[in-house]
Amino acid sequence: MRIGIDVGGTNTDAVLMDGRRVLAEHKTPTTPDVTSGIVAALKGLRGKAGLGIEDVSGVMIGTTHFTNAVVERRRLTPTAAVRLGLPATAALPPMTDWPADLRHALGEHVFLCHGGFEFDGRRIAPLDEDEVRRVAERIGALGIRSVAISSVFSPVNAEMEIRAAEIVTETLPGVAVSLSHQIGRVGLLERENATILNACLRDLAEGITDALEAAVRRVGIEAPLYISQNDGTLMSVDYCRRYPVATFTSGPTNSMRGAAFLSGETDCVVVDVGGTTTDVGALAHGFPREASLAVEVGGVRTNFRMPDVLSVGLGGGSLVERSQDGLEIGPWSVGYRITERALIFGGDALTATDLAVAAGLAEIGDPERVRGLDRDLVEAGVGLIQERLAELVDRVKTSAEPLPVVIVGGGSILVKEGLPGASRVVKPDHFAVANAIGAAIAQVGGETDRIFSLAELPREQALEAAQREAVDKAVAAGADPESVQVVDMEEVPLAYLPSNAVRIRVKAVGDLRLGVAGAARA
Amino acid sequence: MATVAELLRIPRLGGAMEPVLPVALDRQVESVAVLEDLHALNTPPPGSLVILARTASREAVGYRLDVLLRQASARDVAALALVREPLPRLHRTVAELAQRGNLALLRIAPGTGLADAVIAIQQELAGGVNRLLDRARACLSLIDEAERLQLGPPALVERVAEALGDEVRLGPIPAGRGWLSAPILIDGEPGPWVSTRGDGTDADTVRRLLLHRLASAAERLESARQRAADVPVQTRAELLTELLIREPPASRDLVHRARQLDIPIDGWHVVVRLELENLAELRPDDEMGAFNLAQLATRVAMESARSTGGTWNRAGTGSTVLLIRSWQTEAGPELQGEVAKAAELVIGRVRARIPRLSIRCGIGGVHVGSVGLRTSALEARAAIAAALTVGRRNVAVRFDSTGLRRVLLQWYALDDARDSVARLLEPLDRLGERRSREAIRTLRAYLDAHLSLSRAAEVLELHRNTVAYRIQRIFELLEVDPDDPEQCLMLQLACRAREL
Amino acid sequence: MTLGEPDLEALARGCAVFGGGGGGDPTLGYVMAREAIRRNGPVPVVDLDELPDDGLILPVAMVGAPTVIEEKIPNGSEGERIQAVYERHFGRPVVAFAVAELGGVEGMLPVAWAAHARLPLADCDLMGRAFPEIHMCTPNLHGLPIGPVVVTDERGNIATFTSIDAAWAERLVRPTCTAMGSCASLAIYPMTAARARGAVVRGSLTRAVQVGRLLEAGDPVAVLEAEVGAVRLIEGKVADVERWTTQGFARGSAVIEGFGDDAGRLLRLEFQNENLVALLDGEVVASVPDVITVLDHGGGAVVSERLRYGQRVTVISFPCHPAWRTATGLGLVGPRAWGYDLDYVPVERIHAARA
Repeated sequence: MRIGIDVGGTNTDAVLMDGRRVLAEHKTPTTPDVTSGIVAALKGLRGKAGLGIEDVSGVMIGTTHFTNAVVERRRLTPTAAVRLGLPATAALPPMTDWPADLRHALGEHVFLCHGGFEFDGRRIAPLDEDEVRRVAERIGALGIRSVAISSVFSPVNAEMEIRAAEIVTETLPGVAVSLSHQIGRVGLLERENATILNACLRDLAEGITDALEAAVRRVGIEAPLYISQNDGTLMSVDYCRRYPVATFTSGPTNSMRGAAFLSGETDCVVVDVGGTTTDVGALAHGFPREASLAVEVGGVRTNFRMPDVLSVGLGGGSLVERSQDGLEIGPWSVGYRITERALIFGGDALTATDLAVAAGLAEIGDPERVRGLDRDLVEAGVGLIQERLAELVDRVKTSAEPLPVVIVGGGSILVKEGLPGASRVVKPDHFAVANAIGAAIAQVGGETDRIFSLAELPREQALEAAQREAVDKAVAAGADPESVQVVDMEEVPLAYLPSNAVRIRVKAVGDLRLGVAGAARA
Repeated sequence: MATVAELLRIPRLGGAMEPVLPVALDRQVESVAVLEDLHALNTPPPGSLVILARTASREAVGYRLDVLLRQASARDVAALALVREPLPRLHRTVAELAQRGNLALLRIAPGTGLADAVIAIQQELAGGVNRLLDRARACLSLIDEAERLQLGPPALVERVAEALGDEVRLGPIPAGRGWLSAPILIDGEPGPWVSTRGDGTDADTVRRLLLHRLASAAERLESARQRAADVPVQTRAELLTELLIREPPASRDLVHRARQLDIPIDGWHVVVRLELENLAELRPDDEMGAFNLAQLATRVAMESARSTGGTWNRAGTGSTVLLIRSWQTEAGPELQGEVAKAAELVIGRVRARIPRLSIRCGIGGVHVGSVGLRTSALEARAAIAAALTVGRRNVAVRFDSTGLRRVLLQWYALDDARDSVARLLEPLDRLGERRSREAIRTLRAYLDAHLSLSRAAEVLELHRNTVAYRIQRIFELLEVDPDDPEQCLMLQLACRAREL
Repeated sequence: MTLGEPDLEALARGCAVFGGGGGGDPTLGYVMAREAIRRNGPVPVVDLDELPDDGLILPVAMVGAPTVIEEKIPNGSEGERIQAVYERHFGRPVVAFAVAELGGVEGMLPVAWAAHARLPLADCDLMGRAFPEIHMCTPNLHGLPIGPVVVTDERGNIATFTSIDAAWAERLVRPTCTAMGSCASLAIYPMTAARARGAVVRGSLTRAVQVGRLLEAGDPVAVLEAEVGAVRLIEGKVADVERWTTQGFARGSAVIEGFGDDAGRLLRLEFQNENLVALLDGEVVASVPDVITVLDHGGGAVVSERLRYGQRVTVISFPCHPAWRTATGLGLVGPRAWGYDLDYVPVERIHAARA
């Protein structure tokens, strides 16, 4: 048995799962102090399960604490950003493109040192150890306790980042060091940004992980604790202390994976229809397809493994308006006040939900109240909603091939059967706690993202090397070697590069070896 | 004029031209043109089939194919054919443009002679008697090919219909007017007919000739088919005949070949012997006719026998037919009765087919192995000989019912007979019970085998030399002259009587 | 005109439209230009007429792989270093930098270098659009020498090429660029303002900024029709994208399935970094050297490497600089130069014939 917990902005959800079965679920409001909300959720779960939950083999938690801290600029640790790349990259020092308030919150401590690699592994310049040592001393003098180190092409060769980290730690024992090659992929600024964000969350991470652990132990659970990462895999508490940034956007990932799990689909489109917006994403092999573009977090461009999710202002509470151009639904919405504003609940606003009830797609509220609606309007409105949802589904797909579509969320009644582009439409149960389920079912993974020169290494061997690396990383992270599978492989030929360079990204995942401590993404 | 689909079926193209997309195959094609240069697409007239020569085909890829399709549909070209290997993936725009222009996109296999293909297409397009003649020519070469292709009449008729581009039926003469028909003779009798629609013009002469040609080919094919079906039976029959009549009997080689042919030679057998008495009477002065009649009787007999179930093989030549029922597992003497029933059925069926045929039928006993097979055959013959004397025809006569056993019993019941048997065999009886029995068995096998050491050795499962030694010893003891037939017969009777 | 921080976004937007699918993602160039302006102040953009006749102008650009530039960011001093080499070579001062290629990152980097060097930018470029190779510049049509070409990297390595012609310069620069880590800065066609006046595409920066500004506010198609004489080819959904790499160039073909008024039409877009040919239902409706640009819903130009199934786009095309429409121009960059067996027909003529 496993417990999955999702700590959201509003609610904390918990589920108890045995294999593929959901044994119990519980929802409580999120509390400002982290701990008490989780304790309440776990106690609630125990009450519902009617059995001891102390025997679970693992507790998986998804949390938005770290994202919120960055967005709200709260409790961020002053951080030094050290980049190894001179004489390259001087044109854009670290944090150049950051919002001023966030840069200010971190203290604007930026250092450029010599070093870095070319794409093919040659050095741009040798690492100047004395230079790094001098920088470390200055960081020490400034009283900074967290350092982010990045180096040009460290995804190709991480040697210099690792050596620089050793020097910083020798000079400043006890200082927290975050290394870019462990956080992001090719794309210096975006990777470096993510690394700096990680560094500024290190103090907070100590506090939060301690609180999470305390909460779980307080209800008597001794099982190991894991935290959800943004790519739908798990990390240990210890790893989370060092890499809190990996939790960013784990929410949508867990939600999509949970929904897919409930529906039994692994390659599908997930449509989450809320009150105000609809989020649509695609899953391949049970994992969300990742965004290829940079993703902004709190105004900072990063290149995390983020699910590629499209959002539009269309939900159950969307207002329906007639204009000269015809019908408009959304983006304005009555939101959570739908239970007082919508016609079917005795309100005065015509919402998308009212149309759905009038069209007979669902029976909620008082259908009598929408009986008098103009049939043409209802028909046109419902048609428009299907059309827009179908367009969204189409946009997240990578080809015209029909895919199963999984519909979740409070507004799922808006979706009719036979959605264009869908091979079938599935509306699973338990979707209210899809996030927590997504956390509970998570596996552990490993990823490589490197540029290979096919002149030196034949393609087959390059692919093999990349796969092996990803699998090794997954095993190192705590995956059962028997269960590790390559779930995603991308091979991008690079233009303007000599010797047939390709960028190969491989992702491998496997089942967590439960009871094995120290799981971490390598 | 012809549709694209019809052009694709032109026999002389042999399927070398095929559609890339299931689009516009019903379009009428009025002319054919070959383009060497992609830029010359303003020349072919509307409704044409445009074939791109090799170089042009090679160039017609990617965006160029789009442009080409576009230009072709603008000129209302009916079909575009490229000389290409099969296309793995068709670009979205290509499919769309072909669909939109209602233009058939075809592929011609590389290595196809374009000049010949164009001539074939042109002739097809020319239509009228010329086209009919061209098609009829294709039909004729198809008919010539039919035997090599081992087509049955239905398949041949189907292919001819395709090549003719017109309906051709196999069966009774269709109802309604305008049909031209020709009969297919099977075994000299009219069977089904081949028919096609005429149009009342001179072209019907061509059609009639074609139908007759088709009918006689079908006849040949049908009898070839029947012969072919008979081939394995025939091969076995020859082998079995050899096994039964050859002297000295049953070389190891023959037995081995029989096993290879899946004849259960090592099992138990009953032989049914059929003698067709009056073939010559039925077909006076017609040896061939008589032969054919015998063949027919043989086939019917075999089919009828097989219809009763079990393993049947046949042997025999000319007017003598031997049907052999075999079992893999040990069979008791009572099974002879079962075979007798089957034989009755066989006689009935054969006579139903050839009413005035007179058949004599004898059935041997159940015996094992290759020697047993011969024994059963001999017994069957003996049964017929016995039946002859009492004039029994068209019934199955079993070897046992010939009365040999009964006669033997009656004879042995006489004191004289018993005395003489005892006297005759006394020297052997002195050897003691066990050795005496062994000696009598050996002697009987030898005598039954018409004094053949080898066959006796086989029956006794002993080495020939052992048998020779024993026989020599036995004759020494018995003081009987083996060259005296009367003494030998007496000895044989004595041995048999002892075993009663 | 002066390029300040607020103008950069408009310039990036405009450059992307003129880039016609090429020129790369402008984000990095934009950030570099903004950083340089923050440090050193706005960059004046001057008309060639305002520059002294014998004043030296340096068109500058980056060569190399976009992926590498995004990891190995330039040093920032490349422009000044190049400037010094030329001043030594010609024995007179450089009076302005210029944009070699109007598009994506290439349109933005010269702004950064000009800011670092505290020099103005001449209001011109060498293509009026983007092309993948350095000899595809209008001065080449006027017989101006491409060299000496100066190539430098972030370390301070400098290579100077004096080649017999522009194609040779391209051939020599590529391996040098590879040795420098597949990303380098260079200047080509150094020339006096007097020579430049008749040999380059003039007014391109002010036009790009203006177009960029108008695009922020108005209907993109209407804006481009009015400003650059654009023709709308199709509005639809990207239904298919095929890509392959030949000789280091990313080539491909996309199909856009029309909707709305264009329902039932298919546009096939052929690209090699830049968009080269557009065929509507098998009919050529625009071809290189005219500019073909894919606009997304927000009116931003989509670079060819970002084309993806399902995108909602509008494809437009507009006339290239007249120099490209001459026989020599078409010989260098016309459809046949890219392997397309097509006669070039100006986009506005095709459009008029279709209407």
